Amino acid sequence: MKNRYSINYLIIVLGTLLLAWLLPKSYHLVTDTASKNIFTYYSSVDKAFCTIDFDDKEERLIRKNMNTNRVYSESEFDSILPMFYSRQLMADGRMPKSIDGKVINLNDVKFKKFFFKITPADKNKPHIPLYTLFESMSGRVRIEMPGDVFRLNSKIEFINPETNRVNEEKSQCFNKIFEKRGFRFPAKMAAGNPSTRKAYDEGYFIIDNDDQIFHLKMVNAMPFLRKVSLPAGVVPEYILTMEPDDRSFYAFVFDTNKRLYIITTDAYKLQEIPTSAFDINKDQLLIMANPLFWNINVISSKGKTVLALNADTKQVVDEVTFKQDISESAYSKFILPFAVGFTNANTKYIKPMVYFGSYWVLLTNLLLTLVFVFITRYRKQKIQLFSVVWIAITGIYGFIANIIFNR
Amino acid sequence: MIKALLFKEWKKTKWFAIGAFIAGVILLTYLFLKLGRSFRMVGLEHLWDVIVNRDQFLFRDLKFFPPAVGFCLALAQFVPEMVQKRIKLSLHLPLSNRKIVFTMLGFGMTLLMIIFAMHLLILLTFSGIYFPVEITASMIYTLLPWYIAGLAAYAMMSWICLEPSWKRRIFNTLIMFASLQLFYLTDFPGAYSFVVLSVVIIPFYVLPFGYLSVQRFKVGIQD
Amino acid sequence: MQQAIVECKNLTHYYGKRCIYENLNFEIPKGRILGLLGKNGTGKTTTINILNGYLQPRSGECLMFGESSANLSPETKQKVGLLIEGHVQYSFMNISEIEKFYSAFYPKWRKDAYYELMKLLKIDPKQKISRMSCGQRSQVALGLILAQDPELLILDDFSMGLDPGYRMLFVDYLSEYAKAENKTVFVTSHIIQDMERLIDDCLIMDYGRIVMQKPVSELLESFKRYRFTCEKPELLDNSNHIYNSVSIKGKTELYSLLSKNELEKLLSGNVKVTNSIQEESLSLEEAFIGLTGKY
Repeated sequence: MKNRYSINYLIIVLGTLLLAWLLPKSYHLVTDTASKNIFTYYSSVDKAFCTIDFDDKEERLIRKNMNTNRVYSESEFDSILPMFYSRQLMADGRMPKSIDGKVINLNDVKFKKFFFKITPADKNKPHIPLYTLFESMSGRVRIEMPGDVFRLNSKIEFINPETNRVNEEKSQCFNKIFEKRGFRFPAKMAAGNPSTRKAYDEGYFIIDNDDQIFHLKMVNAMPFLRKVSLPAGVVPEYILTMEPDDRSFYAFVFDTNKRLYIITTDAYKLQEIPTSAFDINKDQLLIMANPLFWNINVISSKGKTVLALNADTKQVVDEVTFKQDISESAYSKFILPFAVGFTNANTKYIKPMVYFGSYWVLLTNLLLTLVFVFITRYRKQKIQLFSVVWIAITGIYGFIANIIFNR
Repeated sequence: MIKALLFKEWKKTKWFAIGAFIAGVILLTYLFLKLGRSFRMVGLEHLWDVIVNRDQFLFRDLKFFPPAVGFCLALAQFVPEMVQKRIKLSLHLPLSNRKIVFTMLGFGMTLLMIIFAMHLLILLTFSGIYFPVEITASMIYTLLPWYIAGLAAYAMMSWICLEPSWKRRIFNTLIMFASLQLFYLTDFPGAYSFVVLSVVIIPFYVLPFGYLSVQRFKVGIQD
Repeated sequence: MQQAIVECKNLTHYYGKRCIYENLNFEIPKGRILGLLGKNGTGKTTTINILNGYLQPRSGECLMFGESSANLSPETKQKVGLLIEGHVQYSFMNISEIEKFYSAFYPKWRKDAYYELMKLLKIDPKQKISRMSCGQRSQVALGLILAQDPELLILDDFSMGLDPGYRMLFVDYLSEYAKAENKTVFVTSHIIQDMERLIDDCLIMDYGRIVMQKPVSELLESFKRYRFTCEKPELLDNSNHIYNSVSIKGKTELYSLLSKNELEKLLSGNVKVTNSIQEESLSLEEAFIGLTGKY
């Protein structure tokens, strides 16, 4: 009899956990609404942040200057944000010749405008540690597949896919230079863009076991490896190789102190990009750059911060923060004591996580425990200590599991 | 005595086990032929690129094969016991009930693991020939949750079969489907890498549930 | 006093609110063949299930070899042979497989006893049990029990689905075996004719109670049917040594354990018997109906 109870407890525990996972999930399925995301861009004309926001009352998009609150029409708005709407303005022939006395070069706009977005899930995802290294100076316009991939374990090894064998000669040739440059295997990460659909190739930026950054390229079939000297205190955590059209920088470097840098093409110097505490493991980063200003959007659980940086100096010109009102409905706060989740927007990995609610739920738990005791007596069953304690802890989940599986 | 009990289980499941193994081999052969075709059409370099850089998984078709095998094995093994309450004969064998039930469940689990191990062996041998260890390792991490789901499906389905009360069977079925969802939370290759060892616990956690249902049968619960 | 192999003490069982019986007591002494007789729904199957350990009674207990039937030790299970209603066996095995299977569990296994019976069936040893007729299956089930050589045999409705020939074969084999080996047998059947040839004692159940537990010979010797005509049949009292009296136009028929003289004395007072009482001896089936009524 004894182990009959213990198996029943196992079932109740499993049932409780499944409910703690599925009940909040279905609750959110029914109640979730999209959180508001207000488009914000720094106007090089107005010298202020301008926004596009959906007005729920008027049911239309409102375009306005945040400082003056002046509302613009759609075509007015194009010329307030000439950098953002450059293609529209060029098509209309309305592109200004100069802004603030600065001559606007249309090619410049094309080259220096870029959009970059990174979410935690882009970093925290399983990946297979094999890398494609292109020839950076093939002399051809199109980048071609190199016919091998490399791995970075205790050394660099090139493997030929057609034979699944290591190309010893090439591997040795590359290894020599890795040794010569003081690279410490194994590598912590390697960042490149293994795509043939890009304008040019800058190979890989690699963090070695000593947290040094190296730039690896293949030039004329020969290895090119260069150490990037880092300012004191910068420990790189994550790198993204960018290959922007204007070739002004190579890569973004996220360090362990939540700072963001670019590795500039000016002798690999690091330049900090102010981001107001961007945590790559939790927050989203969106950069909308143009020749005059970089718009840095950091979206965290607290809200959205937008910084406008001078495109040349990367100094903060303006900053605005939109607080997110986290108002969970009282309903779930009182009923659901906690929630179990396995997937998360911040990672592509499956990871069990527990989210706790408010203390108010303990009241509900107590009430449910009493109801359970009452029902058990009504059913003329013996009251088990386990069930009572379990319901007091797990509330509605344990209650349902016990009602079903403890007859 | 245990040997005789295992013989009985083997008698019930022999054809199913052979069938499941052959079905698996046919499925794998089909997948290999399909892959061989892409080797010829686009080349291995492109295939490697797609796997590594586009997060493609080549054996997605295997996804629901293991739980299907698990379900069917549980049915093959326990439906003959439940029809005409033949379990009464099994429980009357001169062994403790616990030994009888766990020998039966252990047999099924072991048989399933043997079938799955043979499949994975074939698959990994193939993968080892055409792909580097990195890709094979990622493949294992992607496949393992599905194969463990097969074991869990077996454990859950046996629990449902052995349960004497229909009302409870419905709840057991709900628990089964909810639990099996845990193995299919995402399609992203290798997403279970960090938890795959804890996921192994699930089928073994569920396995003793069937013994509770047998005890419920013993006290005469039915509806 | 002979040692009791099976003791049921104060068995009480309900299905939901419906009472099957309360405080049922009986025992089976060693070496006796006890038949449980009762109409459908009187708790025959309930009793068998409790006895086999597949039902926990609301209260009371059932002991086999001194152990609670709900939780028999492997050693005791070895001493008990079970025939499940419908002669259910592992039908996915063939005759020789099932013999080999069971032989592993019982040290005293008597292979010959099984094959002797199988020879009569004239079927291929490779034939699966599932492809056999009900009668053939019953012989397999019986053969397995005989080979097991248990001290106690519990047979649930052995005659179900059997042709008369197989029924007779079954009864003959079983009774010969039980007598020769001094086995204890507990048997139920809905065909009472078969029981008469087999059982020593009978336990007759009616709704919620035991009507009678007696050796069959004793029962048939003393339990008689009487016919007579009387003037006031409405004064006949069913509870007082008189069972199931029926009167149609003054012609009365009743059953009683009393002798003719005793009955005459009992009736002389009030009902005014107008002719002489006719006494009739009964078969077990007739006695069963006499005790439990036709309905």
